[in-house]
This record gives sequence, C-alpha cells and structure tokens, in this order.
Amino acid sequence: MKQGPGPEPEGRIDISKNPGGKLRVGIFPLTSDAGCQLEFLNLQDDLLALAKAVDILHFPMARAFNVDGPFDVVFVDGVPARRDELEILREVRRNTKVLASLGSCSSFGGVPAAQRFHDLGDLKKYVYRGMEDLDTLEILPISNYVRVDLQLRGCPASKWEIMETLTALIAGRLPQLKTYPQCIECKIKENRCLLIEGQPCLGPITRAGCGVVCPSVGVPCDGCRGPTEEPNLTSAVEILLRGTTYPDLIRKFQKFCSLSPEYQEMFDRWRETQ
Amino acid sequence: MKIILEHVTRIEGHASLSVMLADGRVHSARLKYEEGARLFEGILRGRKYFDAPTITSRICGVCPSVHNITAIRAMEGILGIQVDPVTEKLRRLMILAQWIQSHSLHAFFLALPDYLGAESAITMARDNPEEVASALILKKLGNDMVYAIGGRAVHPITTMIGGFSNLPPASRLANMRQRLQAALPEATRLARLTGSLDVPDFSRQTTYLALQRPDEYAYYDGDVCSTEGYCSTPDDFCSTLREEIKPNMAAKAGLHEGKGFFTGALARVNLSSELLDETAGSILADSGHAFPSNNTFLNTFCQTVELVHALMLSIKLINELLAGELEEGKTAVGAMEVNVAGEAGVKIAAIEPRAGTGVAATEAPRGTLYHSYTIDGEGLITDDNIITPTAQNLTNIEDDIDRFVDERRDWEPTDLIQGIERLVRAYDPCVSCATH
Ligand code: SF4
Ligand code: SF4
Repeated sequence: MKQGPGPEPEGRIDISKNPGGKLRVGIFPLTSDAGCQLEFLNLQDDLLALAKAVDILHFPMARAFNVDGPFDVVFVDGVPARRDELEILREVRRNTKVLASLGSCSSFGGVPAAQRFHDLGDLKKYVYRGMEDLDTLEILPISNYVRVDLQLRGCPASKWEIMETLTALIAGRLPQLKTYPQCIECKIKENRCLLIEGQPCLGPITRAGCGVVCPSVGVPCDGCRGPTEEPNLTSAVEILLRGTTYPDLIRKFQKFCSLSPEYQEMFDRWRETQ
Repeated sequence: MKIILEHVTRIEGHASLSVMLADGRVHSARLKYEEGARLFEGILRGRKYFDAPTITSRICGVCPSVHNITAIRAMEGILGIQVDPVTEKLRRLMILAQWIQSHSLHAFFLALPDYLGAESAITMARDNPEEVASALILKKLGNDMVYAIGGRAVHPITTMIGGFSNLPPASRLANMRQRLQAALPEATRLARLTGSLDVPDFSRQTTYLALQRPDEYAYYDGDVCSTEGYCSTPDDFCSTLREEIKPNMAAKAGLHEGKGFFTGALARVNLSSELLDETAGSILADSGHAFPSNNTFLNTFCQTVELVHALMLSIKLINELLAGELEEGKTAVGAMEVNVAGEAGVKIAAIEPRAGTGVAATEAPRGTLYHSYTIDGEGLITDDNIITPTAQNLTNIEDDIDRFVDERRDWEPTDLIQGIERLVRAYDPCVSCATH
C-alpha cells in the first residue's frame, strides 16, 4: 500500500524570511470540510495581534483577491481528491519555503481516507448512481505528493499549534509541537481517567496538542491527532478491549488517521481474521 | 465562442463559474462546485450507528453541529430513545449558535463587502470599522456558544446519542446570556443596515421549501412545507426528492416535483415570517421589502433578521434552563460504545441496537438538512443518505443565473460576471456540504 513519507527531518526546512519583512502566509484549501480554515479564522483576536508581523496573502475563503506567492509558509487544508488539485499542491510547494499540512486530512488523509476500506467503484456507484466516471483520486496524505515540512495534526487542527507555528516562524525558529501522549495533559488537568473507568480512550497512544479536549468533557479520545512516536499498540489494544469489542476498536482506529503507518500492522492482522 | 473560468471567492469552499462569451457579451454561465468526492455516504456503511454523528460532523466545518445533531436525532428515532427537555434545549441552543456564527460570517464577511464596495472584510474593516467590529463580536459569540455547550467551536464533542456527556455549568450559561443581551443592539443595527442596502432588482417565480411548525419559527424539527402548499414529513419528502447527478461534479442537484427550489433563510422567512420574534419581525417589516419575496438577493438580509431572532430565542432558552431545569438534566445517558456502568460511577447506559430506518431534518443556516439511516440488528449502518441545502439549491441557482444573464445581455462581461458572483454568494453556498 502507498504511504506518505511523513514530514521532513528538520534540518532541511528553510525558516528564513525577508529580514524585517512580514511573514508571508498562504492558506490553500483542497477538498475538505474547511473546518481547519475556520479554526484559522477563529483565531481572529490572536491574528489581529500578529497583524504587524504577518501578511495573509492567500485565503480564498476570506478574501476576493489572492496572491499566488511567493510565501514564507503555506498551510494546506484538506486532501487532493481530484487530479487538478495535485497541480495546485505542486505549484504551492514551488512557491513556499515552508509547507505545513493543516489538520488530519492533509496529514493523514483524515476521515475520507476510510474510502480504502471499501471498493472505490462500489462507493461511487452507491453515492453517485450511474456516474462512476467521476474524477476521483485515491485519498492519500499530501506528503505522498510533495515534501511536507511541518505536520499540524488534528480534526480540526489545533489553534495552539497554528499560533505556535506562526510565532515561531516570525521569530525565525522552528515551532515546538508536542509529541508526547494525551495522558500527560490529562494528568496535568487532573481529569478523571476514562480508560480506568473502562471506556475505550485512545489517549495513551495519541499525540497531545489539542488540550486533551475530549476526555476533559468525558468523551474518550478518538485519536484524531494520530499516534505518538512508537506507540505500544499491542499493550494499548489489550487494555482498550476491556471497554469495547475488537471490531468497534478497529473502526475507531479507522476513523481519523487510518493511513498512519503505525496502525497498518493491526489492520492487516484484522483483515486476516475476516 | 470563448469560455472563461472564474473562481468564486468569499464562499465556503471552492466553486467556479464557467462563462461562455459570444460577440464580446456573456452568453451563459454555469456554476461548478470544484471539490472532490469524499464519498461520506459510502464510508458510513458498515460502521456503527454511534459513528455517524462524529463522522458526519466532518462534512462541514461551518455547520458541524447541525450535521452532528441531525445524525444523532435520526439514530435516536431508530433506537426509540427520547431525550429529556434539558438535552433538547441545549441542542436547540447549539443549532441557534450555529446560525449566529454562520450567518454573521456569511452576511458580514462574505456577502456584505460586495454591497459596501470592499474587496474583503479586511479592507472593509478600514472603511467600516464599527460594522466589522460588531460582526466579529457576533461571530465570536456563536463560536463561543458552541464551544460552551459542545466542548469545541468546530466539531462538537459533548453531544451524544441519548444526551450530553457533560452539561455546561449554570455560570457559563449565565455569562452567555449576558453576552447575548449585549450583542442584541449590534445585531439589530447590522440587520437594519443590511435591510437598507440596495439589492439588485431581480425576481423569478420560485418554490421555497423549509421546515414549518404551527407554533414556532421552525428550525429544530417540523414538517417540510413549500410556498406552493406542499406539506409532508421529512421522511416522505426524502423519498420524493430527486437528486440529479451532474456531469463530473461531486454534488447532486435537488428537484422537487420536477423543478428546482430554494431552501435557506429566505424560504424560512417566506413561509413563517409571522412567527419570528417580535424584534426580528419589526426589522423585517421596517425594511420596506415585501415578503414573501422572490428576490434571491434578499437572502442575506433574511439571515441578518434571523440573527436577531436567534439571539432573542437563545436568551429565552437560557432563561428556561437557568430557572431550574438544568439541575435536573442528565449527563452521559448516551452510549458511545459498549460500556461498563457503575464502578467509577459513570452514568452510561449501554444502548441495545435494533434494526430500523430513521430520518431527521434540521434547519441548518443554509437551509433544510436531511439525514437518513438504516441500521441492522447489530447497529451497523447498511444504508444512508445525506441531503444538504447547497446540493438542493443547485438547480435553483442555475435557473437564477440563466434569468439573471438573460435580463442583462447588454452588460459589460466583467460587471455581469461580478453580478453573477454576487447572486451565487447570496445563496451562501457551502461547497463542502454540497459535495461531501
Ligand atoms: S482519559 Fe484518556 S487521555 Fe486521559 S488519562 Fe485516561 S486514557 Fe489518557
Ligand atoms: S482528545 Fe483525541 S479525539 Fe479529541 S481532539 Fe484530542 S486527539 Fe482528537
């Protein structure tokens, strides 16, 4: 199966910007629900505070005239789901120093990547009865097509990570994104642990950065930010199965980040038992 | 004949106009939703009933709560679950919050710059700072309401089949009420301003469809009714609605009784204006525009009137919740997954899935949204259909464009194309929803 190479090692990222100039920012939408772009818009107060240091030059959702580059950083929201979107993506890569995937769709394929658990022809027949020649593209993370420098995960992307990325690049440094598991933030917030209560929470193997929002309101984490580095899946699955069934658990892993390389072995094993 | 392609900006998602030019004049124009197929209806099949609300929320980042709650209600219908009044009220508040957020975003940031001659809300902020400040306050208020109840501004978390995982504390609702009251004058001013703007002179006999109830300005439930006298349950409506497949476009256009129709704020106003809150109703009456109206451009004004209505209604709902109901509310009666109740005192009851079909309809900011599901005895989804407002409106948009062009054949192409873009924007199309 094809898989994205993931983000680049940090050494190759060009974080220089014109000395004294504003950070030239672009937000490029591909096929998506625009939720991540909205999180961007929802940063209105913080963005206003950055107005002296940031120039948002491309954001078609918010403005009528948009510049095509050059950019210091571009955030790509969504996945290429049509062939022409690949052209946009490649063009964007050429026109920016830093390219960041914004959210789990561009980072992992997101919810629509679940298409691969079905036969694409059947799916099209089911949804678009009789128009199976619709231009579709296998849903894959954007890193499958272009070099990705920074991965901002989450469904939707975390506002905190967007701001950290912008402020870091303004200062000419790399953003410090969290890589540890959700549980650490839960402990800090003194949340009650849902996993101990028997609920299937993916927190222990999911990357922090969202502010552990779901467990904080009593809902087990669905892993929308994808796995931590080297998650211990075998032992996690064992514990998770105390609160759910195997098929339900597999479906949970298939929800947001089904293209995470870390999950594939588990899916393969599941398929064999089918 | 020459064809030019225009990207329609300041709408939710990616759409283009392909404009046919003949002899230096616009001959015709076609709207195309330029987003790929995510095939949501397909990927929902084979998943558990409780996955539908969280997955369908991801259809649209602008109105996730509406998708989420509509899916929840459809599933509750199948499973025979009745929720307590507190749950229903909080859900209603979330739908209204979505209206506030989406309407202020569209009306003031996406549509209004057209009328005020600004390129974007950013340039509008320079020339009309007060209006922009008010609009920002409103949009933020809508966001914060969804956040306060749903746990996050985009894609709610606490909403579950059977109830909420977590109820907002009374103090948070009281704070919301205070902000709603403070925002009322702003919303009223903006609605009056929008009502005073010159809209293009345009009128085409159109069928308007919306949910309707005898006792309230319907938004949470009701029958589907049209301005031509049609009325039936959402269930029946879904089975008679025709969804036309468009060549190489991932959206299906709606046809009712063989014709296009309009769904959205203008349809709701046309059908139920007398049930609007008094303040909102007076803004409508004072505007000098006569309703029912066949002028698509007035949709933006109707959204601002609904904004005032939504603020008033939210205050009323919060008053009722704070008058004691909230304490009696139950949390987490929904079962996300098979669960162990008891030990740690979590109040989560396991739901026994049962086979059946259910349809729910909600008035999303842009019009009526339908979710229909069939599940089997294991709780797995076997069949589903999601019919979004922007998809339903597509036929009507095309008919409107044809008429608009037809009446303005002598216009300079650049002006006419701008006019068509404004017309499209008046529908407040959401391409993500349309293509899902
Ligand atoms: S609730 Fe989830 S994220 Fe929080 S500590 Fe428990 S397992 Fe970890
Ligand atoms: S808690 Fe888990 S599912 Fe919820 S937003 Fe964070 S990573 Fe996503």
